[in-house]
Amino acid sequence: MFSKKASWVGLVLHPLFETAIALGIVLLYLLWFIHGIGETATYEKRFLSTDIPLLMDSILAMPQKGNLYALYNPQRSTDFSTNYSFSFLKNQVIIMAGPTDKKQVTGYYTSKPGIYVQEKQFIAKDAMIVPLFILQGNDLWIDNANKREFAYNRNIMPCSDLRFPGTLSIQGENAAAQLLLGQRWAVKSGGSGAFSMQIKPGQETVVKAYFNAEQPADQLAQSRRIACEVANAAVRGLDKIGIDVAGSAFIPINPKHTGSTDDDFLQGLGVLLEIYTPEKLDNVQTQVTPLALAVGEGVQNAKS
Amino acid sequence: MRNRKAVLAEGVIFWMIYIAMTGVVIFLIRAIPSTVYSQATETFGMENAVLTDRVYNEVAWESPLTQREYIGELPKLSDWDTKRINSAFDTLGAPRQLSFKLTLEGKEAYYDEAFYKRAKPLSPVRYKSFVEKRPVWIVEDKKIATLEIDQVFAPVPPGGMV
Repeated sequence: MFSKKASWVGLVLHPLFETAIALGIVLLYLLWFIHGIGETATYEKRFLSTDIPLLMDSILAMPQKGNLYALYNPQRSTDFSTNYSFSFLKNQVIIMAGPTDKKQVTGYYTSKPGIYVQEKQFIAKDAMIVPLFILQGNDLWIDNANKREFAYNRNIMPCSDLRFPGTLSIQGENAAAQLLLGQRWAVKSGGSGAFSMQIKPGQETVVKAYFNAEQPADQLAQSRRIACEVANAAVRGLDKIGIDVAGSAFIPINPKHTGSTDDDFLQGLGVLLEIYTPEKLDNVQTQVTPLALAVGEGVQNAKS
Repeated sequence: MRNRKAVLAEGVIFWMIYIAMTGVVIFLIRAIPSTVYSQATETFGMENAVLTDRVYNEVAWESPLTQREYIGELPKLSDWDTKRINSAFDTLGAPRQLSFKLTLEGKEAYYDEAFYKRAKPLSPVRYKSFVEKRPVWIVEDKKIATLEIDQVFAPVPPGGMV
């Protein structure tokens, strides 16, 4: 039989001992758990599978018209342990560590009607995959920033598919010559509209144009459509000859309210197009001529 | 000396409590780290903010002159309809179940009304629910109306189905 003192010691030490063992087990489990998070890619995969769909949801939350370029690059630092593979499917993103990971993690975003999200798969090989999201008009393109497939130009604007109903042609035999000389190129086109354009060698604003379609019902929309096609063609033309475009814009104007413009023939609502580049176009043969040809293509595109 | 039956009964009671308590401890050991871990990565609040913004961006009109979109404005109250919210989401075939009820000046519009009516009474236990109020400028009436955006969705854990 235990003495009274011994029973009190047992009463205190016994629970203390058991509590210490229980806490020890909890501590060991926590350490094992934390070690697991650090050693495996589970935590990172979960992070990516949450963060990337959130970014896609945010991109899709943007008002529809506009261009957006989002580089997803938390992997730029060496914090991430693995090169991840990505599968972008409708409403879901699948993350894998490396090319053959069986424990893939899936995250979910919500598509938007009218916006086409490109389905794309990137399998990790050598270089780190850096997802790149490009929203242009009604398309969301997904690319790998370290191995680009999609040529993106932020100055290319989404044009409406409104068809210009009248005839639209570069009139006059010496139109191209006028362009080359940097003179104003004013054309009245088939009674359906008018535009005036000037490519300015040796200046920073290389294209300045007024478009004034004469369709009473949707005059502004028609003008905008022509301006958009010409602007895109000019931007592509400048890109081809290695000239950076700092910005392009077409602005609706009404000469009645703006006073006299440098194009007096512009009547009623119209659109002013300006393309700006910090570089000056000083070589007619290698710079201005290709640009003039590109603009001609833009005019043709507006008709189709 | 104590009765043999009493000693036996005492042992049975002790082990019953001991085994039950062991079960509780094992459960806590398993559950606590997972709960802390999942709470640290929970993004429901942010998802809600993003999706609510997406709905609100649809409450807009476009100037025919400048093509600028005026978000949070409607030319007139009668322009308010279900088409606006239906053009914000495409959850067809998506594992994430999502529904909205929008109320503007007493006029209601739903996205996935069937799911909303089934899930709303079960939130916030089974489903997540967020309610937010935002101002809408009614141009014709020259007044600010209140748009109530009630969002109910089934949380999808990373890597898992609902």
